[in-house]
Amino acid sequence: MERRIISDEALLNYLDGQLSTTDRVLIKDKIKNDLSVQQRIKELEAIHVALFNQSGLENPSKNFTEKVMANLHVPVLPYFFPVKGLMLLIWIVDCLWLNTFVTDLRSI
Amino acid sequence: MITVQEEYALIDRILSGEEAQYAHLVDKYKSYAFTIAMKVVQNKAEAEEIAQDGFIKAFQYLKKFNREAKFSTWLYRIVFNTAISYKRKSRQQFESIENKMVEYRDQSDSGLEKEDKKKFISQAIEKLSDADRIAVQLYYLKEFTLEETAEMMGQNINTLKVRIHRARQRLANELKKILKQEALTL
Repeated sequence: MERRIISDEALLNYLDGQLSTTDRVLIKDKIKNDLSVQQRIKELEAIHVALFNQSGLENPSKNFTEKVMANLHVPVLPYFFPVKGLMLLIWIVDCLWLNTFVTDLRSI
Repeated sequence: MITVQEEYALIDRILSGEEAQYAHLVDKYKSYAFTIAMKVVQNKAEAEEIAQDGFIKAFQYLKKFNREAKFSTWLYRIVFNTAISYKRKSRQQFESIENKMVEYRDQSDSGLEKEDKKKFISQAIEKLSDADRIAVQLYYLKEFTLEETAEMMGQNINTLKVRIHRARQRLANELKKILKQEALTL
């Protein structure tokens, strides 16, 4: 089988529309006349189209903005779940202790 | 559509105490922020939490936004890093997805239909390394320039270009294998 001399990079740049007019004509000509290039461009194009079709924007929930605005001053903890849970526990205990302390102070 | 200068003016108002104005920025960028988080973690509930955290962090660090890049690029980088950090922590219990082989031999012998091909390509995309998959998916969003994507991902632009080419090459090679397999079963 004839060895393909057009690189994948050149073919991908062709699909991306990032080639000069001269190079584009050259690649088009190769695709027309070289079976191995024709085969490879088909494979790359299938991927190109699949990725393009998957590329839509996704929308978050309807109350996304409200949720963000309601939590603007809440510290964002790092994603280490045990620590996140522990911090929450410390905060609850702290609040309870402070509450008891204030109540005790008032009763003095 | 507001210009960059108008956006900076809006940021000035937020910084001077008009916090409610931040909702305009959230509304404007929430879909892209959510999509970026989705590309990384591939789970709606997690992506929503990450995108929200990203916006909250951006608000809390807004004073540090130096306006050298667009606000959106700065914000998306925060969201991207938040998502990567989340993924790293949650992945500890899962095996690495790097270098997994795509399973396609369990398919029927009756030839590959268009839908099957689409499914195989989707599976192949999921089996790319995270960095390659995210790079190629952000590239196809067509919203960001290569420079912006590189900045968002904290990568050199040439590295990013190589990643995108390499990812597509790998996917094409996987497809080729599948098609060969199909030919053998005919």
